[in-house]
Amino acid sequence: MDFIRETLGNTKLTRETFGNIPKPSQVLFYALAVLACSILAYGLFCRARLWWLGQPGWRWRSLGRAATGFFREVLGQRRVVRRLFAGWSHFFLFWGFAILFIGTLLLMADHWPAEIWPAWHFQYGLYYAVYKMTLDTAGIALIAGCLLLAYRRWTRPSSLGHNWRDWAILAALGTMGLSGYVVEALRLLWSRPLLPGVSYVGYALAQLIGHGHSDAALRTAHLCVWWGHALLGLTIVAVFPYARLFHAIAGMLNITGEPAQLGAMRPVSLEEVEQTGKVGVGNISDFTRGALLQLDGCMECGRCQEACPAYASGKPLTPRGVVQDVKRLLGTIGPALARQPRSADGAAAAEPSPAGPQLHEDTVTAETLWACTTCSACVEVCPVRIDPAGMIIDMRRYLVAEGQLSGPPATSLRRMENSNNPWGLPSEQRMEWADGLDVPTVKQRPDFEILYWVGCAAAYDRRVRRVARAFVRLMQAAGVRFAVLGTEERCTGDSARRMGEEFIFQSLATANVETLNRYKVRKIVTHCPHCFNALTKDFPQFGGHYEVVHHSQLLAELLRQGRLPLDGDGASRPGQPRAKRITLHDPCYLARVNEITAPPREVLSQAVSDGATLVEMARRGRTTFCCGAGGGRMWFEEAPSQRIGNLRAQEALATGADTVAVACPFCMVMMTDSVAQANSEARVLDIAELLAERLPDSPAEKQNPQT
Amino acid sequence: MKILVTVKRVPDPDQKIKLTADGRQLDLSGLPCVVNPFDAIAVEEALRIRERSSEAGEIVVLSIGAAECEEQLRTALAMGADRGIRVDTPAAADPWNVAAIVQAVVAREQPGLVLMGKQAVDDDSNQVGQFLAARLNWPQATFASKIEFVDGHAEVNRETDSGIERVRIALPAVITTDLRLNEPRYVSLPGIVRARKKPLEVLSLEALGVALQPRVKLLGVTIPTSSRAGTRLRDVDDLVQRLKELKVI
Repeated sequence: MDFIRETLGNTKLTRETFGNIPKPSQVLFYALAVLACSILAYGLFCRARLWWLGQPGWRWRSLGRAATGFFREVLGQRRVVRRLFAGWSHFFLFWGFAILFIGTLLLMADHWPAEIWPAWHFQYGLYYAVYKMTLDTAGIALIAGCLLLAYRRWTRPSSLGHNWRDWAILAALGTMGLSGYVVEALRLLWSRPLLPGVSYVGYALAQLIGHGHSDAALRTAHLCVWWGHALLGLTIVAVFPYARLFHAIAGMLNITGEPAQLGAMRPVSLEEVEQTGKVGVGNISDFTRGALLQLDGCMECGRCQEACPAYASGKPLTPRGVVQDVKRLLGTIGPALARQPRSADGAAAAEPSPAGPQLHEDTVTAETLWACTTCSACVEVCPVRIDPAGMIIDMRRYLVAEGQLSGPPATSLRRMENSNNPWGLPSEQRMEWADGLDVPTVKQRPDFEILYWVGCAAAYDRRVRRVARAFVRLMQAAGVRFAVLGTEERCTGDSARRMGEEFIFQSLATANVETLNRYKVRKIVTHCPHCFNALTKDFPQFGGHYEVVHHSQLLAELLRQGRLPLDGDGASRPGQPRAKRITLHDPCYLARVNEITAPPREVLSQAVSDGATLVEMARRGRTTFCCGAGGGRMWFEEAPSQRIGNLRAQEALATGADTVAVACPFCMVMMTDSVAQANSEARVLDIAELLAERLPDSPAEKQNPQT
Repeated sequence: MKILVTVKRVPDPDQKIKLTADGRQLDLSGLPCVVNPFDAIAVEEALRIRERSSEAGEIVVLSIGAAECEEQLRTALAMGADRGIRVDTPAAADPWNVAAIVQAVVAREQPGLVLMGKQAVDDDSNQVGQFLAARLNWPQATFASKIEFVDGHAEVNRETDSGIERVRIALPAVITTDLRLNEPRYVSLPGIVRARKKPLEVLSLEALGVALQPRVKLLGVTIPTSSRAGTRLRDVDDLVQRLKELKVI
């Protein structure tokens, strides 16, 4: 209180701006500042010109969402701090830098108008005291951040991209903080202001320097160090767009602009393809401007690479590699392209010269692009929300259009086109899975309350059929009025779309939407997260708007309502080992892409009988690790030893689990194969199968010839 | 080198085949059709031969049949062939007459190589390639699983029942393709859109100077009876017992 009374409105508690800096020095400083800002502006202009090589269509998000992104992920550094040491080091550096930068701007805002109107000054009194204390604290944060990050670079993990400039930047920022304190200390010594303690770090430093020096010496030293500090600061401003520091601007623009929505894809217009005969990203200027901007946001932190299942299983793909390689290509061929004349819509008119390095093969190989499972781990983990998966799918679209796909995945696409399912089996067999069960179609039960979307896997894969049967018995036991489309159901086209074959996807999607709308379907349940994602994120683009739940959500709801008559324990099945230790493998398209993580666990907690435990893997929920089947990888041939699923199966088995629970047909196939590959006796079961084991009539199903 | 590749329109082999009401023919209505898979391999091989070779060569694809065959020609053009020819015939011709038509087209086009699928998956005749070589008096290599060109000759690995046979034949020649020769590239809509600009010529039998002389008459077709249902056995002893009962061992 005394402090406030003493400082509030006290015009003596201030400091003279440019105190001890002679007029010529001030003029020179401003001249250099103009120069530095021009270099900054030119750099920005050059980068923006490269972004503008891309295709138009980059929309800004709503102001509210942009603000949320800005506050949570830029100011709050929410995604950055997920990695503890590096994240918090960055947090300190960021905030130290930001506050000192704003502090300098405030100084300018105080100084410039006062040149004309001396009464303008606000840099005094209580405000000044708080300002000084804040800035001194920010300096500590900046220096601490620099030291911590320097330590990390010294002992750096292999995932971290690195070159000599990184040292230079850290050194420059750290020196900026230190020299600021020295300037402050020297100023305190020669000017002897009121309450020097508000600049507490500078004050402490002043005590170290001591009072035994002459004012003249102090002033000379002050001027020298001030110039050093100023020149260094202006240098940092000037080099900003030319160094890794630029991620601060590009990253911020990306976060507040239009970051990727997991699981959603941009549709390709058929009319456009009819006109141009082109689709996808074939060269650098086919990317959107937003995608090219994203490239500059990449700091090479390597989190995407660590999260990437393709990379972990020894495939040539690393998301960071793709982003950095494309960024390098943009830097190589972009400037020349940007100088070429443009067409009316502002997009680059000419294509890159055939002589220069090409995007495909020279920069990113087809093998790299096909390795992606679109699990979206890289997108989810990226602190500045770069979307390597989206870029990869866009480049795949080009590969597919250019006939650079063959073998089993090509066969699966032809089958989706001709047979409406990737297995190539007749539609008439779509209901065989339900033999002996009472499963009404929408025609037989027009007053259904919820449509059960069975999916191709449950229709044609003998193992997955058992999942559908278990789920149906649960719905029947709970009295759910469900119906299926039966032979009228088609593949959702999820894997076609993610393999880059947009047209088969679109014909499947429009046909499915037409069928669903014809039967006035409003609510849908599916046990397949890929179907779930297609129904919720893909179909709305083609006029299909439904309330869709995953079977884990419906089962959890039925359990909460007490509608499932479960018996005491699951031991009633003869010859079937009872689950004692269960671990859950979260499907990417359920947990990460659609953020459904609690319902499967709710179901499992009820499915396990007394004495059984649910053990979690380290990578779970939204940070789950892919089984290897997403993005159309289900249809690629792969040597058993190189399967991504093997890594995940080892992770699951390391928990000591005797049962691996899954909630996705693709995961079911992959995990079953990989658990067998590991010579383990562990069972792989869908959560619905585990829950159905506790239905009173369980043994009856055991006798069914389907199993 | 100019390469002529034959492309036959066949029902998608994944589809279930039905018979017409009178039970004498296949009911193809509403069935999705594809390029005969062996012919797709032949088109792919022609493209690869050109990609490997230093000289530019035209790839001409040929289909025989009614207008809907142009769909398959467009697919072959989308894969990368340069020009299409459809010889208009109202009904399916037997292998000898198909060979006669192809012979007439060969006389017109003068290719250095004729590549064709070893058989079509609809009638499984496996005769046209051989007939054509005989009619042209050209060397032939059937069931190719590898094709190389050495000193102006073709060296071909042939997949026979007893193993791989490697033969060397002079050019021009007829080569028919087997399954393991290559994996044909996938054709998507943009490729088909671009292929619409490629030339596709329709020839009548008269223009080619071919008069059909049918040699084969289709008497009827039957759908194979479904395979017997499997049985689940208890263990290996059970299996041995059953095999003994069936006098297999």
